[in-house]
Amino acid sequence: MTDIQQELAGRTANLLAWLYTMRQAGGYGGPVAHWWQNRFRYTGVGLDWRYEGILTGFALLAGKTGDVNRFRALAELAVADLRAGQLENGHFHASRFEINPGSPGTPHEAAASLGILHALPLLSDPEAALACAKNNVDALIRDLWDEPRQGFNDGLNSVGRVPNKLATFAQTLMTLADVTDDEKYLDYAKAALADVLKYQNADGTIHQYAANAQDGDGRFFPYYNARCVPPLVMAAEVFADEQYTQAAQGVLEFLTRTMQEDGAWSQIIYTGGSHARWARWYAGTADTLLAYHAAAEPIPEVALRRLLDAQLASGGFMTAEGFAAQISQRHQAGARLNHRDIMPVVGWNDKVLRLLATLLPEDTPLPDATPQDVSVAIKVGRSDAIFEETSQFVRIVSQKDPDKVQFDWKKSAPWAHVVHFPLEVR
Amino acid sequence: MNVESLHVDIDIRPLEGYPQPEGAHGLAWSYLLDNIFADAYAHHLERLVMVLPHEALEPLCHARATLSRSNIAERGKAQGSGLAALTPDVPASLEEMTRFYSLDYGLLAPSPWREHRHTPDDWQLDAQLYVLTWQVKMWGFAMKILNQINRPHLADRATFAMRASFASALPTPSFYELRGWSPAAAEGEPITANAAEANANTTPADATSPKMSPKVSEVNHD
Repeated sequence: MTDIQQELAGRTANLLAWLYTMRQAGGYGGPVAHWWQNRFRYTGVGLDWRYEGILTGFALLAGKTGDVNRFRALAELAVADLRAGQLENGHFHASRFEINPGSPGTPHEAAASLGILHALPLLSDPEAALACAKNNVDALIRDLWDEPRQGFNDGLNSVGRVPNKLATFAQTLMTLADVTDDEKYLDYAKAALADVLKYQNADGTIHQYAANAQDGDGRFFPYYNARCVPPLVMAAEVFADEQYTQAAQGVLEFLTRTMQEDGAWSQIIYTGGSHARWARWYAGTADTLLAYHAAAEPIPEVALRRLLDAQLASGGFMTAEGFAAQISQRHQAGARLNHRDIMPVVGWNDKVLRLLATLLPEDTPLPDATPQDVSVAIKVGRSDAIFEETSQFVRIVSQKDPDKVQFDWKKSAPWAHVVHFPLEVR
Repeated sequence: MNVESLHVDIDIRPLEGYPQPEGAHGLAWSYLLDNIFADAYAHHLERLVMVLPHEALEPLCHARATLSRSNIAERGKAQGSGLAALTPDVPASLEEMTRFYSLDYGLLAPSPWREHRHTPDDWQLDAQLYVLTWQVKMWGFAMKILNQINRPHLADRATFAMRASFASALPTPSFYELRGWSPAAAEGEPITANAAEANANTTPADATSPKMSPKVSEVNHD
């Protein structure tokens, strides 16, 4: 085994060890730091896109490590979370990630159902799992289909398109069509993909949002553009249509020309060329690198190295760097991370798990995990603080006075015990 | 795993003209309800009676109750009841209650709702949270102008400035004012003029103090 293969196996083992610590009654929980909003008060279960990477990762690891029993048990536990959390209307509770607890969440539910579909071959009761995913997808079709415009809305009561979410939904629909042999899902997938293509520019960039299904908003997120690539690559194969290949290639060219020297991407690039440079993802970068892999392009080594180096001693990967500059956009690379940057979040780490499982060579048993407690100097607002994580809790204390607790969460609890401003900011 | 969820009793008393919990008010209610349920969980309440001003809030409460799961083997059986009086004029009977949450309406709310304020006798104010502050209006105006003159990169920065000032533990003009109370003579509860100090000095091992945002801020805002 090469050094990088050994490294991937070791990092995967530690990531899995960390992931186990994030389980609580009903599923995987923990705080959420995101570009749009944050949740440090609610730390309970989220039945959202975290299950995409978790279940896909488990399914891949079962095959690659040979430890089928271990990953079957884990996958069945995760599917049980989703089945138990499925509402009568087919949606999942707490499926809105950074807006949890709320339901229904896009693209989160479709992503979670995609995870189920990927894990089906591993499960001892695939029929029950398939029924869960199908009920969810049918609910999404029923509630989001925009008949006059022949597309899918982003929310229950408003007309609008979010292309990257539509791409994820299309991937779920294509996978479900394959499993069920029901071609109606392919028709819906085509409709979703039509809006992805509609909002792609000639330079490959895809708009983030289109209010009222009209013009794109002129915001181009490298991360969200990258999430469109695997579904487009799949669509090219399913529909034997080159336009999807070209669309995926256009996104990859955008990613390649906007990657920074250290292997990071700006958060947003706007029409006209201005950037929202900060925050730059760590864990989320896994999806960007997966886009290269899906398109059979070489993964930029500098970006992979930057991602791998973002793993904490606990095994979790940090979320980002530069969230403190989200408003000012003035930040020094290498400056102290803040609480949002450093917090390892299940719904970002699942993406790393999926990437590592994808890159891991066949027949690679995982080594024993070696997770350790974490204590890192960070910033909370303008104050210096210490971030501490063990298998039992996450705590942030004042560096000057360690008795002053600013955040305290016992990992088995659905609500954090102490949350002081600015950690309360959503 | 042997788990139990918080039991909630909902009493809806609709108010004419009350805003739907959507958009800015939706975000506000996420602060309000999350703080109430987190505090109820911290105090290991068995039951929460909620008086709500809008029927659309009911499923939001039920979802949080369902998700407020306790491991009985770990924490023991829940006990005690709380009352969340979230309408302006509810006659609050606090008999047999161990926690009380009151929602008052501040300067940004319609004047009829501001007339009544909950001031329970013999109860200790532990924490308060001001939500949907005046700065939201200011930054919202900036966002609108910047979008109109086609400066989306600046509009996005204004959006996050608005978010950063959306709620405050410091008294500030706002639409909603949430307060958390405990019986003044409750055994085991800290009786202190500065709950913030109690909170700030809390360690997980000995925590008994309320966990809503403290009534005096001791941490910098960004």
